[in-house]
Amino acid sequence: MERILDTFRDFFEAIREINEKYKNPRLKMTPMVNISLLMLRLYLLGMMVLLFYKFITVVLGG
Amino acid sequence: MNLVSKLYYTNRRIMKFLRLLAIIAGPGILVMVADNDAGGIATYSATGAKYGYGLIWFLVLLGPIAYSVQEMTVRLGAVTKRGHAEAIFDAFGPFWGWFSFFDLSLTNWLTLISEFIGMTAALHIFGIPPWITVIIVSLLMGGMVLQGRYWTWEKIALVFCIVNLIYIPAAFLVHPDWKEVLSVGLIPHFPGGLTATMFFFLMANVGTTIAPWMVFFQQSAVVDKSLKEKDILWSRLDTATGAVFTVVVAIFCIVVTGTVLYGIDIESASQAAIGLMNTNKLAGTFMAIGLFDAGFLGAICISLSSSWALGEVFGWAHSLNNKVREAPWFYAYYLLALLTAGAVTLIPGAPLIVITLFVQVVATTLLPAALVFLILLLNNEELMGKYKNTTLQNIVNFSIVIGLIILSTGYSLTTLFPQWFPK
Repeated sequence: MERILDTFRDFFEAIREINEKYKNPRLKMTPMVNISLLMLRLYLLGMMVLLFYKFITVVLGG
Repeated sequence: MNLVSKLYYTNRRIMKFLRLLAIIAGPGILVMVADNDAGGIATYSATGAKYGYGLIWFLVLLGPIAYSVQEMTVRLGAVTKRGHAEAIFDAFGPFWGWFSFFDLSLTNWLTLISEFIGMTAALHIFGIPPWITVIIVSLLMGGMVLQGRYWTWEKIALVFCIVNLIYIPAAFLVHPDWKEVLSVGLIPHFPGGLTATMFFFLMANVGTTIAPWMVFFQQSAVVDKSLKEKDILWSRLDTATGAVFTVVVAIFCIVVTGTVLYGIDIESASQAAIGLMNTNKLAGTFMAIGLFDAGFLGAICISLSSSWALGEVFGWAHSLNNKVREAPWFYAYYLLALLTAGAVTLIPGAPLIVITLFVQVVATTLLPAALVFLILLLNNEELMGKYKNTTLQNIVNFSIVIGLIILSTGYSLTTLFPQWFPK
């Protein structure tokens, strides 16, 4: 049990280290980069809403 | 004497060129041929059966599009010496990094299931039960990576690429009218007009041309092969060769189904193979072998792209040149994805058709991100130096990326909400 917990601890520690390592994005946030990332966020949000809508209609439709 | 020496040196130059190409060729040809995976073959079969030779011109156009996108991954990999997953973390931070990594893992795993569906269906035609196919494929793919050398893996995979050419003899076996193929196929037009069904087929063909895993795979393969800036020219040639290869295979696949199954609604490549067997047993057999090979090529590249991404993100050893004890997580992840995808295919009553459709939808959430990141990275002078995109490359690539995003999203929406679109 202790070994399993250690494995999980190591895994989350690795994720924390990755987040720390890449905390500051290397790419300079120019207006073009910011606009592109904003558009991407909006696109993904739209896709998520559509997928959620599909999921709800499938569940409600039986 | 002068002529003899000229011939001798010309011959030497050609041989040197071919030797260099043979050494560097690999990632480009592999990624392009693997692009004609089980889903791709199903799409081409259905396109040929529905519109005959009428959309061959459209596939010819898709070759340069695939080349333009994949060429960027070559430059990015050769200059930064980093895979795409790692490059995203580094340039855009953890949010986009984790998003890309998890989305890629999910998309690849679902696509892997669809490759297994294609392979099991293909061998089922020869009476081989699905569980035997899954075991054979898992052993073959496991053996290919566990032998411990990238070079050997690549050359074995290239042999499977050659098998993909089986659609060429299959096309000759069904005796198409080649004059008609050329006159109907190469003149841009939309048979029956630009209807909703036609638009769906165009989107489906575009969807099979560029998949997110291709961007991740080729960049990682370039890094694993230790290609450098000086190899970019050769790698471009490798990618261009692959693009020609993939278009040729797609065209011949369409010629086969367009000749024999024209006017029949085809839903899967195995259905096309069975239909062909009733008319021409050998052509049908070739079609089934081609389907298995396509699924196999797709599976070996897709599962590797996931493992490479895992290693890049976590900083673990992730080269095919590593032994198992040197890169345990890399190989464990590869085998885990492979075995679980194979196992899902064998579950009685598993919603395999839903999974096949869902693959495209999930891929649509990752493709725009991967392409936008690619363009932004290729425009970063600090990162790319003199290899950054030129103005002309930006105009071409921006147009391609925007077009791909619109069409793949359209395909995804018609898959999710078919009732919104008129038939």
